[in-house]
Amino acid sequence: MTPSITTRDCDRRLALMQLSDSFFPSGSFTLSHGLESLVQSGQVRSPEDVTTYLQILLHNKVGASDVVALLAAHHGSVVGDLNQVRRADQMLFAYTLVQSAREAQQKSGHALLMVARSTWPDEQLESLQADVLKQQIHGLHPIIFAVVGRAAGLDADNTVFAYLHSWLTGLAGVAIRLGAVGHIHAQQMITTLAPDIDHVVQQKSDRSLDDLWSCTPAIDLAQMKHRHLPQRLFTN
Amino acid sequence: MRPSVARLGVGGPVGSGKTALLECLVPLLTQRGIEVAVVTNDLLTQEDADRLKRKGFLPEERIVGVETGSCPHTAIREDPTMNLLAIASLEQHYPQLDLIFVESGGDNLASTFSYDLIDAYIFVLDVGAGDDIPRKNGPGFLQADLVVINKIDIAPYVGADLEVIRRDAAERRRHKPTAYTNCKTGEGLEQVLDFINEKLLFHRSNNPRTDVA
Repeated sequence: MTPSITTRDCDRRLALMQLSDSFFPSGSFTLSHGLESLVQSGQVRSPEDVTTYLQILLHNKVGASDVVALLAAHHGSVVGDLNQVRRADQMLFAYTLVQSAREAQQKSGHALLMVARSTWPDEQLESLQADVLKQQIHGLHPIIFAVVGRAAGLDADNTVFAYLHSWLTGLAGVAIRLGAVGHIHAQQMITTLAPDIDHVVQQKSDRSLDDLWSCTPAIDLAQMKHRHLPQRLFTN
Repeated sequence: MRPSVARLGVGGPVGSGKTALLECLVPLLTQRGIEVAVVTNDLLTQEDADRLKRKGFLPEERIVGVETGSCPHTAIREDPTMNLLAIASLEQHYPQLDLIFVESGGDNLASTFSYDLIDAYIFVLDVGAGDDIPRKNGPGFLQADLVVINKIDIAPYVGADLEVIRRDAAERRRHKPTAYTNCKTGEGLEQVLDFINEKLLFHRSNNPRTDVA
C-alpha cells in the first residue's frame, strides 16, 4: 500500500484547490477591505450593493494592480529571478494608496508565507522570508501568493484563479458575517461574478508593472475611516 | 538557539472571567520576576486590550489586540496565523519575555486551541453557568490543560453545587487538573500559578518556584 508517487507528481488540481480553499490558513478572514466600514455607514445595504462593491474593487483595484503585480512576480519566480519578484512587491506597495490596505496586504502576505513555507518547502520562499526579516521587501499578499503558487506547481493562470477565488469567497464570507447577505445570496453573488473574474483573467497578458493603476475612491475613504470605527469585527 | 517564549491560551465562554484571571495572574507573575505579554482577541472592539492597558500593570506595548473578523475560535484554532504574527512581533521586540498569554474572545464549550499556536491552554468557566457544565462534555472543558472554575463565591446565590462540579470535573477530566478560583479575593490562584510554573516554565533556570511538587 506504499504510494509510489510523490506529492510533486500528484494532480496539480489538488494544489490549486488547497491554495484557494478558505480553509487554508492565511488570516484573510480577518480582512473586510473596507466592506465593514461601508456597511456601518449605510453605503452598502443590500446584496446588490455588495455585488457592486465587489465589481468595483475587482475591476478597479484587484484586477488593475494586484493581479498584474502577482503575474509579474509569478514570472520572476518561474525564471528564478527574485529581483523581479522584489520589484513587483515594491511597485504594488507604491500603487496601493491607502495605508491600512498596504498594512493588511503585508500582514496577510506574511501569514501566507509562514504557512506556505511549512506546507511547500521551497528555496525561494526561504529567501523571501529572509528578505522580510531584514525588511528588504514588504511581502505583500499577491506577491507572496504568486511565489507560493509557483512553489505548489501552479502555472500563472491557475495561480491567478486561486488568488481571485480566495479573494471572492473570502469577501462573500465577510458579507455574510456583516449581515449584508445571507448564505444563499452569497453563492448567487459568486456565480454572478464569474464573468467578471473571467474578464480579469483574460485581460492579464497585455499588462506589465508599468501599467498598474487603481481608482476606488469611495472604498479608499471607507478603509481610511475603518480604524476610527468605535466597534469593529475586522482588521480593515 | 534561543528557546521560544512559552505560550498559554486562555479560553472559555463570555463573561466567565478570562480577563479578570489575567488581571490577577499578570501582577503575580511579574512580582516573581517572570516577563509577560498578552495577546487579546476581542470580538467587537479592543475592549479587553484597553481594559488591561488601563490597569497599568504591563507596559502598553506588551498588550496587543488582534481583531478576529469572526467567531473567536477561528482565530485560535482553524486559522491562528494573525495571532502567530502578533506573537512573533512581541518576541522580536521583547526578547526577554518568558510567557505570552493568548486570550481568546468569549466563545462556547466546543472552543479549543490549536497546539500550533500555544503550548497549553486554560479553559475558564464560572459557576453561574450552572453545576451541570462538566456533564455537557464540551471539548474545551474536557481537553483543556487546566480548567479554572471561577466565581466560586457566588455558588450559593445561583443554586450551583460546587461539590457536584468537583465530582463531575474529576470524573470527566480524568488526570487533568481543575482549579477553583475567586478572582476578586485571589482564592485558588496559587494552583493556577503552580500550573504555569510546572507546565510552561519548568525548563527555566530562573524559575523562582522550584519548590513546587
